[in-house]
Amino acid sequence: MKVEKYLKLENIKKNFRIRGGINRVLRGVNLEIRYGDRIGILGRNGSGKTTLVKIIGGVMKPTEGKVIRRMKVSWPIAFQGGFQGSLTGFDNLRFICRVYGVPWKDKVEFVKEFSELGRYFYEPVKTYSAGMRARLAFALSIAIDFECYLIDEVAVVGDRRFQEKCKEELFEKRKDRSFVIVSHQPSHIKNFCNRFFVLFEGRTVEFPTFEEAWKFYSSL
Amino acid sequence: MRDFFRSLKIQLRVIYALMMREIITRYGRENIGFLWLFVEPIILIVGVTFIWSYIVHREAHGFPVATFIYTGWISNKLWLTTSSRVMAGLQANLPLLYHRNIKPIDIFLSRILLEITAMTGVFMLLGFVFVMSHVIEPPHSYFHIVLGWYLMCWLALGFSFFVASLNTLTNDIVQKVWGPVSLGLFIGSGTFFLVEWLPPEIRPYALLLPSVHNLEMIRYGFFGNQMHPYYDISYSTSFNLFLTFIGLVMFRLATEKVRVE
Repeated sequence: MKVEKYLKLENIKKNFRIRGGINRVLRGVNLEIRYGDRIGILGRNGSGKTTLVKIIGGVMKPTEGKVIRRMKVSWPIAFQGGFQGSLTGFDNLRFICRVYGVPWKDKVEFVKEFSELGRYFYEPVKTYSAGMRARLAFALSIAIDFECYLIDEVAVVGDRRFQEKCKEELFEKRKDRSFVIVSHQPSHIKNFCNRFFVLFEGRTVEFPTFEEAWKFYSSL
Repeated sequence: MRDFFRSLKIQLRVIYALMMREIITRYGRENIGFLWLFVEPIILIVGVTFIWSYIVHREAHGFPVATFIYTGWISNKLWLTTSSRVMAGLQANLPLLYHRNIKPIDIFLSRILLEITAMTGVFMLLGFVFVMSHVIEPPHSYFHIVLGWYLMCWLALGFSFFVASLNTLTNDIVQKVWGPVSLGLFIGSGTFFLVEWLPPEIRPYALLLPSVHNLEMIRYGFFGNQMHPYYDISYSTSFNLFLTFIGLVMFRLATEKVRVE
């Protein structure tokens, strides 16, 4: 029996309580992502891109609505907040692998290699530079195999060469997977995605081509 | 049903991962590692017992002091340190909720399990060593020790949920007053007294704390008829049930409040 893989957002609403009222960030997002879809979502600063990614990833609960996950969805990749300073890169790898039920022994070489940490892989994270942390975070995100990757583009850092490497690892080696990329820049969305959205007034609007999405987005 | 077992498997995996992480974080991988878990209580007990037995007086009220301190100290540390670890744990591990499989309850349970396992290990190992080296007499009734210890573990669970949730709900006020409160509970729970030593009119008040009942049971297990124990299993059990229920309800409210950055 073939299990159908998809991810569906049904009327997602998210409110934040702030001083002096309620900020309605998402006001009813409906989105169906099939396996292999590469979703690009353009949105201005503060339009709720990151909130949307977090809700898709299950980091945050929506105020209303439902997320149906019938794919293995990643956490928003390259997240660095989960590092405990006194743990080494290696410890963090083991932790992530245990959480996701993957044998860590198979992943050590890959993460060590990809993150370019060398001997620092076995040193506490608190001794890392910002770049080293970012590389470790990215390497850990792709060490686990997911069917759908969530990318908040603002969060992806590192120098140019490393970014190229990430791009190759994600967009070439894993191009058959699903992706959700949110950004305020056209770069990756234009070149890589096959469905285009603009997040606007708390809802997503789909456009048939990137050019149309970009035109609408630029007029905002 | 299949979904249930799959979720259970994930949850057990996550709790295991969190426990391993906590062990490495807290004790490091260098020198004796997680054996540090045993060092602190051992130093305390040996030190306090030594002071009491040899400097203050050899025997208090006709009881072997070592047994008295050993039982009181570890039993009450069990539920009080567990609670304070759990209370500190939620805030420290908040970023981990970024992984959708990790839920606040896993953070709670992993810490509670780790602490209970560690303290039970310390209790058994030290008890064994002390009996073997004739520091304390062999127990009179294992049944009472196991039952008292079990009720103490349950209290640790319920009280941890209660206190940690209350702390989250009150924006860390509990943590600010935790020092004196836990010291009060530590002393009030009979670490340094038997209920029979108290004036009869005060005993009912001392017995309001279930930990006093549990400790009396544990001590009776060691002392046997050398003491007159005061305990009520149904009181302690009902207290635990009620506390666990309240703790879980408050936990539910507290998790609504935690927000991932």
